[in-house]
Amino acid sequence: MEPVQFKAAFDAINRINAATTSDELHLTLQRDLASLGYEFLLFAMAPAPHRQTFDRLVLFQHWPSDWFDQYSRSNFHDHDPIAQFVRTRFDAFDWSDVPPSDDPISRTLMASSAADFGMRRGLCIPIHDCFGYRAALSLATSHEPPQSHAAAEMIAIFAFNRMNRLRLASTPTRLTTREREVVTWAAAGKTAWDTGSILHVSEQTIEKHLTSAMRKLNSYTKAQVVAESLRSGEISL
Amino acid sequence: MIRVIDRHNRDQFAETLEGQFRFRHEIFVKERGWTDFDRDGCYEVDQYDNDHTIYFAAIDDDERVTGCFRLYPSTLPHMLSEHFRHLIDGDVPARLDVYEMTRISVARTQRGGTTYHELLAGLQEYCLDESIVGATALIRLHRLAAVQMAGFDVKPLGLPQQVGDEQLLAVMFGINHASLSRVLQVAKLTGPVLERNIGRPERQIA
Repeated sequence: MEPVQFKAAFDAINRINAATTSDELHLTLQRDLASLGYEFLLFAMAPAPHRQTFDRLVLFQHWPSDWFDQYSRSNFHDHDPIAQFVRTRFDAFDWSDVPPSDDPISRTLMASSAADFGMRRGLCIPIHDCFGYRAALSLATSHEPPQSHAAAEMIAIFAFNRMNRLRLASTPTRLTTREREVVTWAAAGKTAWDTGSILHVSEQTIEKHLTSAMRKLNSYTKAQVVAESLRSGEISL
Repeated sequence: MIRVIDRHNRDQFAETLEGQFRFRHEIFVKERGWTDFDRDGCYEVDQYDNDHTIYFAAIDDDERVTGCFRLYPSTLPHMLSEHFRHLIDGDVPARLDVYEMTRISVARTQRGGTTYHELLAGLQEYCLDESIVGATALIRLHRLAAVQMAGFDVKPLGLPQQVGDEQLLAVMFGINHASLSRVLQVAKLTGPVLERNIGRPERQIA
């Protein structure tokens, strides 16, 4: 046990839980992770049908701005071996644990590009809930990273939870009548094709409503948008 | 529905209690390989199964156990104090109004359903009734976000540590009406999940 580190993590978590806006949360998270030894961070959601491009995945970031621009513009996310690897992992991993890639862009990305901006070593922390992989916090430093991941991992999970609580508190009912109707049919076990037949519209239209509901309720699958709609009272059975 | 069994009503619910030990054998011995606690090849039992233990069993319409956990007084030697002391920074919580929650598990067929939330709601409901203010527990780090998404307030008691092939974390779950209503809302449950208990007198907190 490293008592100083636990105290630091515990205080950081208290500050995270005390944050009342996402800006406050980002600021305190960035400071606390910096004092743990990570200067750079990027918090991203897991890709979902309505959320594929890198700019839509990023919740917030503190990267060298030139690197962030280059990364976004050149679509490095599609080649980033860390972004691929994190989906398969339950626990945090060091960049050095990521298996080497065959993709030449990936290799350059890892070997030199990030390092040119001072991101030499890094840690990636996946976050899972009952629905599976939800988000990841990617940390990097130009120095020697801390020996133990434990504090950073715990802080990441508490920060993700706080983000969710703040989001839920600030977002009342949002689904349209049609979206609610489509989700209700999905909850009754109907496929998009079934629902299309029932409502006399095309399967594509139903998919469009479902995707839109998923985006609004931050869901990844049809099952999840049903669960979220029930939970938030958007629909009832 | 969650059935609560303690030393006052265990004769009345002997079958459920036995089902609970068999269920734990399925989960913890067969699925997770905790062979140290195998008893006769069909039960899972350890030293914290005794007169002080309070059992919570999720039961279906046919009275089959589909999930469970147990509570044990933190004032007695318990799992965290005796076996996982190193996961706690500072004193091990030991109070009359704090219990340790262990062996939470859900049948394979019920995972992703409401049984898990029902168990969590059962913990809140029971503890609110009995003036218990917190429940300590050992959880796997990658489950932490799921417990929080279920609506629980979690306070870490130490840093997560590698134990065998798992990252474990000692925590205190807060007991409060806000957590109970969040869990019920997440699971779309409307009301008390605990079975109205016959034969279990009011527990007195000294």
